[in-house]
Amino acid sequence: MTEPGAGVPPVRMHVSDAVVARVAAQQAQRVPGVVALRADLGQALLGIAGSVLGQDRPTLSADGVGATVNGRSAEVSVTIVTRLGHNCRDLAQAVQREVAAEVSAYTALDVHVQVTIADILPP
Amino acid sequence: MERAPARPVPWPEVPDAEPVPSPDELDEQTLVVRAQEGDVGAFEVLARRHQAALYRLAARVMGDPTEAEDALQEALIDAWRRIARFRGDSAFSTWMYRVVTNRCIGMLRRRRPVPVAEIDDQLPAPDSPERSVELDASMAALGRALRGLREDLRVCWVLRELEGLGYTDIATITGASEDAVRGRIHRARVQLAEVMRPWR
Amino acid sequence: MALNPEPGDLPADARIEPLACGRDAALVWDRAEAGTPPDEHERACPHCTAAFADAQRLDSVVHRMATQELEPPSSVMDRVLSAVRTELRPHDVLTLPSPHGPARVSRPAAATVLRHAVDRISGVWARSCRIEQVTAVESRAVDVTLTVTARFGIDLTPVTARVRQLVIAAGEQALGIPVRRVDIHVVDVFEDGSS
Repeated sequence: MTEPGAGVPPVRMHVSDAVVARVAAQQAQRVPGVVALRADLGQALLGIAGSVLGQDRPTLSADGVGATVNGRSAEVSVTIVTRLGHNCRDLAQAVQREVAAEVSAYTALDVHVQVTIADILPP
Repeated sequence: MERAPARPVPWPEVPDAEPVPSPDELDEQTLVVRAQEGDVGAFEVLARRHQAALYRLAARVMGDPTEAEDALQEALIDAWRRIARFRGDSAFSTWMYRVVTNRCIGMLRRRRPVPVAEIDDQLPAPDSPERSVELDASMAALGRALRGLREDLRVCWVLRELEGLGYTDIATITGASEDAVRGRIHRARVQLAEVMRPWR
Repeated sequence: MALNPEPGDLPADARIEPLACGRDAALVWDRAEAGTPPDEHERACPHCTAAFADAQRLDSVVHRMATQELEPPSSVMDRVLSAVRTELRPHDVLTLPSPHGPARVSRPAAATVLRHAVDRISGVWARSCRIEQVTAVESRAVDVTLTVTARFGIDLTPVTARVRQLVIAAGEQALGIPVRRVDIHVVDVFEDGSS
């Protein structure tokens, strides 16, 4: 958002759910230990449950990432697949931190990330 | 922007452990329990062990390799979804035969019936790729004759004559009585023999 | 001789008609297929002789068909496994400790990890692996109940102790979840050379 100057109307930036999801997906895939994103049928059908803001608007989750933007915040849900040899807890936390940081830097939103590790593949 | 590395974690040391044994060696009961609890690797071992027999059944019942592949594929996915319901009352192979049989019968019933005259025209040329499934002319004739059998007769006959199963297992697989199974096999034999009579 | 009909029986599953000479048609066929030499009646009777000839003619080509090897293409298994792996059980998850919000791992995937840890121990194979998360505990600790099959003759005490040790280690190192209890039930035995 720009400061209102003399005669210049304020700019309000809206970021769509899809954009947040795309950025989140790209960043999640870059985290070491993330082998792939995986579409979660359950998420797509039921919507992202349990968000801090009580948001239950269903979002598309075809590529393993769902996002809901609500005002100044975004709820992101990421479903990943990893391989044996990575600590799941550390990996999940890394994904949460890195995706939140990247999306926040890109959109200026306050981001909360939920991670599900759907599968742990053999080494 | 801080970036915390997620380095691979070394596996716990087990000094006298053998190199990780392959689940290929596992007994069937262990594999089944694992698969029931969602272990895809265990399911894969089970499926690989049984797939040749199940494919043979599907190929002989459907009379077409492409449909047999579809039947096998869908039956294996079926089996995964329903494996929690396998109680161990019968052997796992019997249960798998049943899943494939049900899938094949469903496909056969949905098939557009082919008039008998057309079946004759469908005999492939002697050196065509389709003949790779039938190695000789009389076997090709038997294959065609099989396709002319009503599906319930065909299934029982294939399970008995080609898969070598006993009447009890076939009854379990088809849900019919042993008496009915015996009758169907006999009727199938008589019909097939009639078609095969001109062949040496 | 009539067994109880099953619900799967069809109206067409009526009794088999005997041969014109009165002999049981299915019996004659079975005898012919088994290679039993025809008895006195069967040798003389045109109906039985015809049945024998039919059976033997069919038998040779059936045998060739039965012994023919048919293998499915590898693409079938590839597609099956790919379909099976993407079918999530969406709510069968364990909570991972995290200060950043909800983090979960598939329970079946976690169980498989623990089983594989046990598999590395000589003489024992993990069968069932049930993981229950103790909800009241902030550490998200779990209780693990294993059933195993053990090699006949091994000393169970040190082996089960090692199983327990490895499961706890795998919980911490592979999953990042503390394991509070490991209960081990030996439910089967195997001989060397089998399993």
